[in-house]
Amino acid sequence: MSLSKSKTPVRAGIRDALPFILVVAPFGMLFGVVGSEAGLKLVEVMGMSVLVVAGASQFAALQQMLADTPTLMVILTALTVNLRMAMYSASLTPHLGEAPLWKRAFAAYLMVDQSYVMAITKFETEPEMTLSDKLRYYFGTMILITPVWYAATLAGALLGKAIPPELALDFAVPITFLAMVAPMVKSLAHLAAALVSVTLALALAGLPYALGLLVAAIAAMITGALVETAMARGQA
Amino acid sequence: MITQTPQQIWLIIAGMAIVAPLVLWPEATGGQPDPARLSAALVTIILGSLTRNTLIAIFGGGVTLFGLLYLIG
Repeated sequence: MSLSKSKTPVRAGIRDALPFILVVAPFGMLFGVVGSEAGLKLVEVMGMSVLVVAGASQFAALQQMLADTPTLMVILTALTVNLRMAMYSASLTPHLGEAPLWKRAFAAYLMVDQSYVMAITKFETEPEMTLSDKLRYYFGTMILITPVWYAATLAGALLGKAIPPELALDFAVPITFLAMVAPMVKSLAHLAAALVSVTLALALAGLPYALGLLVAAIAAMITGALVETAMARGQA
Repeated sequence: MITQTPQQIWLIIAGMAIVAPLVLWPEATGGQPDPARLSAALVTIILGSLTRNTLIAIFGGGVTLFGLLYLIG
């Protein structure tokens, strides 16, 4: 992804995040619509968006709740879908790990795919950034996205069926992910991992509790590692 | 383990696994594959790989989606 050259890290974060508002807004609205149509009260829909701040995971949890799944399994499913956040955290630790606990906790609350992608790209291209600049940039990326996420959920919940289906809100999610992922595929290992991930996710889509996702992710990770090892050996 | 860009492979893997069923079987069409959505996904991937620019990929995918939805309904 391309990064802006703004002087202050906060502004650079805000600028880099602007395009993502285009996709966060429809996604939040969609969650509001689906949540309220599923019979959740306004405060429940909003509570989920404010407390969880994780689109894909919220949808997974909502689906399970509608299917009368036991609460424990709802929680486990949502956690599975968001397991990648643990990997994101681990990969940001070398950059933000020295920050005080409350700042790290706040960073964790605001961690979404978009903030992670922007942060890791920025930190890797500009390794000379100080800890406080890195934190400013990270929080800068979420200054607009977070309120837009809340507001869009609210708008979706209030408007509900008044939103025409032609807006195709559902497709904001695939387009965001694909637009973030495609530029990142830079090696054969990445490509192999992506293909295994897609194939298994589709083949195992019928499994309950997002188990297919878990299996697909693990298999894809192993594939990526094997391909990279093989490539390294080929070069040596 | 992955050495080149260890961080980003998780986004690739998780992103593709989450997205694949949404692209192929969108709930909005009752789970039927939809030419407009499939084309939009393809355009997004191609633009993203060629330009390495997320914004261009999002715009291209969006234009394709709305254009085709308008044309073929």
